[in-house]
Amino acid sequence: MVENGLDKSFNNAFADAEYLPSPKVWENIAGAVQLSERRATPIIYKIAAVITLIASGVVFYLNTSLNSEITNTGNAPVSKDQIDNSILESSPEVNELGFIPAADRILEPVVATRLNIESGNAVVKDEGSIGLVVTDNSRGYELDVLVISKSWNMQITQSDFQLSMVPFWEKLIERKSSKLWVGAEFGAGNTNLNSGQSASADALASVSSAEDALYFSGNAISTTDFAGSSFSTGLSIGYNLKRKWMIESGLALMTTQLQATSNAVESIRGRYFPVYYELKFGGDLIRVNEYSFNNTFNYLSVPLKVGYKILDKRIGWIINVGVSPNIFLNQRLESVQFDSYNTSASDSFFRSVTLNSIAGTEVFIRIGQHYNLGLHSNYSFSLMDVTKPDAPFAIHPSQFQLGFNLRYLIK
Amino acid sequence: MTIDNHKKLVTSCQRGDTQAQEALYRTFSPKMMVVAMRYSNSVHEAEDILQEGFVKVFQKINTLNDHSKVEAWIRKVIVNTALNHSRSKLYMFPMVEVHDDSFTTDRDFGIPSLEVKDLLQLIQSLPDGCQIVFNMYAIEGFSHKEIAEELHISEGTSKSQLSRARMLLRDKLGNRKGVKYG
Repeated sequence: MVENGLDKSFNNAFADAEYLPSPKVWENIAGAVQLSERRATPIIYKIAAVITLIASGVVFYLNTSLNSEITNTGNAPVSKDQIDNSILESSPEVNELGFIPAADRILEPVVATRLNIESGNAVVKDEGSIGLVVTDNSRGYELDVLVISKSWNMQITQSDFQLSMVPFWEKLIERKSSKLWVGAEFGAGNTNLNSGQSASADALASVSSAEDALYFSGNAISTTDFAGSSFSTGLSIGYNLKRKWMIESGLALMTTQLQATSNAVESIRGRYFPVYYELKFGGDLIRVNEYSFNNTFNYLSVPLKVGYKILDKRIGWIINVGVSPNIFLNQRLESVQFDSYNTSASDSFFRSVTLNSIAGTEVFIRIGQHYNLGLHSNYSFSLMDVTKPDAPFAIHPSQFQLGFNLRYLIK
Repeated sequence: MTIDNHKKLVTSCQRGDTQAQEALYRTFSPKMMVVAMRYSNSVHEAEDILQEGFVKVFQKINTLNDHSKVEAWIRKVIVNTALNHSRSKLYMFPMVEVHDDSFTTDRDFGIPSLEVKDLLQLIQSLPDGCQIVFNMYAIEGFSHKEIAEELHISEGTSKSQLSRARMLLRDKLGNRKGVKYG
């Protein structure tokens, strides 16, 4: 492309030209690289990953079809006839499940007035499972644990059903499913920009409005401190599809607050330098020691989630995944060194709408007939850059939040 | 430093060796600083670009497969970083003017060769659009099509900016030295 004589002159002149940058550049680079390596995998994400992995394993395990075959020690199948028929009739749960709990009932206590195994030494073959059986005898309720494994070829005997006396579980086993619910929730946690930038302050300062850029212009030289937090408040609505599946949506106001401190800021084209524009001759430096600012973003989030109820009794446990379109509302940049600014999507570097992925889990306890009080944790990750294509930095933030919710169960 | 040494440095950097990172920086930063200066209007801005660019280099160095091309790869990263800065400049171009008496134009670029220093000053004195297009076309070797895609402008705009840059540079050179360039 360099066919022009003038171009060649410049090209040749710069071919081997060198200029030593100031020592502080390397110091800043070393600090930023060290910082980014420390941020690479926050411990909270590792914990979330472990929880997700365990939850996924449990779900996979529970969905494994059992089709267990129970035989006597003489390999003759143990039929339901060997369980007291009169008791089965009074216990539809057992009648439905058969002797071994079906896959979708695992970890749910099986209600029976009494299980009567005639053959004292049943041998279980086929796939393994873990199940709970609650029996009732003249002494009250008993909680029994069945551990069945193909590899163990475990023998179930009458003694396996004599583990403990736990009348407390009578309340726990009450099924309290409601089809529809509405709720309110609050969450708080941390946020990570995932900007890939060396200096977060640089990224934060630059992804602001055109007017803000008069001051920042992406020239925060180094970051000495950085912290990000996020909060959400919202309303939710859910519907139980089947026994274990549910869908959930809602509306939430998401606020992300990022604080950063830089040791210097250079304005290369600010309103205070008219001569600069006239001469196009390099900028003077505005040095502001310990320069700090708060950057607050507000989004309206509309999550759409699918949940799986691992446990749905008086105490419950749900895992869920979904997506969330986030609508950018505004951004506010504040600092003691300059006036605060509010920007909307149209005059900022942010997209109006972005899409997030969500994964989370929740435990809850039933309060009365109509309320659930829950604790939840959510991890969300932006599926696209939240910044516009022409923004100087690409950011796809992730957030981890812990929170609580209160739900009203509509019959 | 030989290409073999460059390869060893890259391998060490990919293992996270901080001494190797510093050595890599010391080796290439003087040349890359000039690249950054061509796209900037001040030493400080160039150092910002250099800093941001080298952090990217160390973050992404595991993606570099051909270690013998490390210099070209670093240069590409620095140019891309500079272009990101340039995009924000173009985006913000209409500015409000307010006077400030503290501004100074006394500068010393410190490049041993006066010719290079002068040429650098000339490039930096160009309007932002001309400066970027001239750098990309005449020195980096981008085509007008590539420039248009990179800066989200038309090829015609790229060509006209280049023509304007050449004209301004010829005028300035002519005024300084009475030399005619093709």
